[in-house]
Amino acid sequence: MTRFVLRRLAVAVPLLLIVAAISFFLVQLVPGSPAAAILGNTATQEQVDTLEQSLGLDQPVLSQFGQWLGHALQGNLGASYTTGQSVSDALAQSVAPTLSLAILSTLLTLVVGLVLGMAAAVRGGRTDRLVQWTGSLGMAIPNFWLAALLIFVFAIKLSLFPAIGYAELGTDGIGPWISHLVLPIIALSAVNLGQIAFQARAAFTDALSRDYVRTLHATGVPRRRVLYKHVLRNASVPVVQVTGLTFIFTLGGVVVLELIFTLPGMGNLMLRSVQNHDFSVVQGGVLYFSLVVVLVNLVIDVATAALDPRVRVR
Amino acid sequence: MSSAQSSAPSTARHAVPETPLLTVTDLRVDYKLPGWRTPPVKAVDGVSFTLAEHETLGLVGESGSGKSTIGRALLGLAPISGGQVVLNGHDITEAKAGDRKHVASDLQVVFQDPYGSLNPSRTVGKTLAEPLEAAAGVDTRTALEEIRSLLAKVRLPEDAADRYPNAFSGGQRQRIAIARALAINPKLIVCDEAISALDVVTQAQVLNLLGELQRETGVAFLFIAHNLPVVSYFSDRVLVLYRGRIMESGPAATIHARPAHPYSQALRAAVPVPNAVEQRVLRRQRQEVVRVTTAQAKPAPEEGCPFAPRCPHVADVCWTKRPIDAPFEDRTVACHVFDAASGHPQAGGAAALTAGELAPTAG
Repeated sequence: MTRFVLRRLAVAVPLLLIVAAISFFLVQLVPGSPAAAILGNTATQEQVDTLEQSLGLDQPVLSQFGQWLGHALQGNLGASYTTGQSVSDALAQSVAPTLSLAILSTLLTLVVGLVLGMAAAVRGGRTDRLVQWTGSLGMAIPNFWLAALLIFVFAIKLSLFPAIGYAELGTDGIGPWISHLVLPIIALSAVNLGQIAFQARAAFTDALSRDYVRTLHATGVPRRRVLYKHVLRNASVPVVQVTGLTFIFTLGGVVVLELIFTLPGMGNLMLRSVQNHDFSVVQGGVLYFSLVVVLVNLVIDVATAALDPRVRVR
Repeated sequence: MSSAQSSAPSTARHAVPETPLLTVTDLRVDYKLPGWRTPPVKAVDGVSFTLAEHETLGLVGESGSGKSTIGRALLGLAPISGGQVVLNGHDITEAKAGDRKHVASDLQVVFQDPYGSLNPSRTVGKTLAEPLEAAAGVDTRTALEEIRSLLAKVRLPEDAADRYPNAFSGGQRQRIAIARALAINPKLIVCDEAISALDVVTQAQVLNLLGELQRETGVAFLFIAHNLPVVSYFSDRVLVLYRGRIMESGPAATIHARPAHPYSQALRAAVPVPNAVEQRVLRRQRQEVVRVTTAQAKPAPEEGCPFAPRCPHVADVCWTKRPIDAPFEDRTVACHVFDAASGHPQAGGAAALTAGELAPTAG
């Protein structure tokens, strides 16, 4: 198992390098100089040139990339063009709300989706139809609309949760932290919940129809024991894999919700930096996101291998 | 197993004791088909038989004859729509699969597909421990001891317990399935096409193993297969099934040597032989015995003999009247030819039919 993890990590290194290179060169294609954006409309060409020189933007692209990569490998992602703040610091501040939101939402959808899918597959009939309706409904509702609705009902009318803002887990404690995240999590989870529930339903239906399940039933192993000791484990494999994918999509969905709920997260930071041509922050952010994606994929692979011994052999 | 024993296994075995281990009375299994006017398929249509302790009863027939459905009905996997199943004094007709913990200690099963019937994500040891822990309530430590002796019983290496099913061949997996069935010392094991998925050499090994285990443990087998020679080699008695009904029943040796019912004769002629000349003769015989295949045949009459559309000796009475189980020598045969009072033009010609000398009827 340790070798399996190490091998996966080794594969991740060149992958991150490629992502870093692509993001760097793509950003170069964006029209407009960061220096001009920083200085505003009134700046003279001379001023722009001087600033470009001091930021190192007048050098050839390849040598810029080499410098940036060299610094990045040492953990230094440079400084923000606009605020002068270290990119690493800026990202570190905004990564907590985003990851809290994405991770909690994914855990919620995984647990609830698994239970709903299992109930649908095992009980069938009315339960099955109810789960399918709920899942379809969740997938059909756009998350920004649901977010607005949730704010209107639970924050403005009922005053149960704060409408906007974020509380630090470390400084403000778990209560405020959670209460600021409840509404964004629900808005974010609705779409994925349907997907996971459908996946779980299909996986359980498939696992339940396997011959070994029939054999276990026939040989007198109680139904509940078959379900929890045999079916659950085998049915979890595709569900866990889909959950990994939805987590990655969730990172995209977070951007919209951070805007609506004004959470100081990665989404807001990236959006602001793109608008300001603050390329050093954008590059650092892309690197962070790809690192998260690689790590999530690794976790999914390890979880799959733990659940299904046949994966480990390969 | 020595050749002397294997050539005549049934003569060495015992007579049927008074209280049978398993009594099946007028068992019926109907499968509903889609469509509001489609009548249900009678997969098993009034089958009665008994099975004694230590006995091996063979069920033989072609695909769709209901032989596997009988096995599945006993295991609670098929919807029983009529009749009664009594195992070891308990009525298990209503015991559905998954709610039959109390039945498990008496009745176990080995299915056809050795690849599908083992959970791929559990080690062989865990698979074998499952019935011990679930049905017999044995703790894991004792189970480990048991597993070791079980693996030895089915001639698998001890370290097999830590490996996963995908590390084993079909024959080895079937041994694992047999070991699982034996784990809690059942009185009866249903072998549903248990060797059909294996190649011939492995079939022989597994059959010999089953025979040895039966002598060691005294377990009874309900042996379901489509191959008449294999079934009659391994069984004490044989039931020949066609379209959910018993066509012929009796001692395995005589049914194999001289099948009486026209359908049993067809089944026997369907088994290929290695010699090409004999095979050609056999094929000609088969064409005489059976007029058409099941798929081509007219639907079986509601009231008559189900084999009537394919039978070379069919007469008017076969289409209208269900044959009784007529006694013939040491067996019973559900055929009007064997029933002197049936009104069949060839009634009473049983001996000639069995010898293969009776001419086909015109019908």
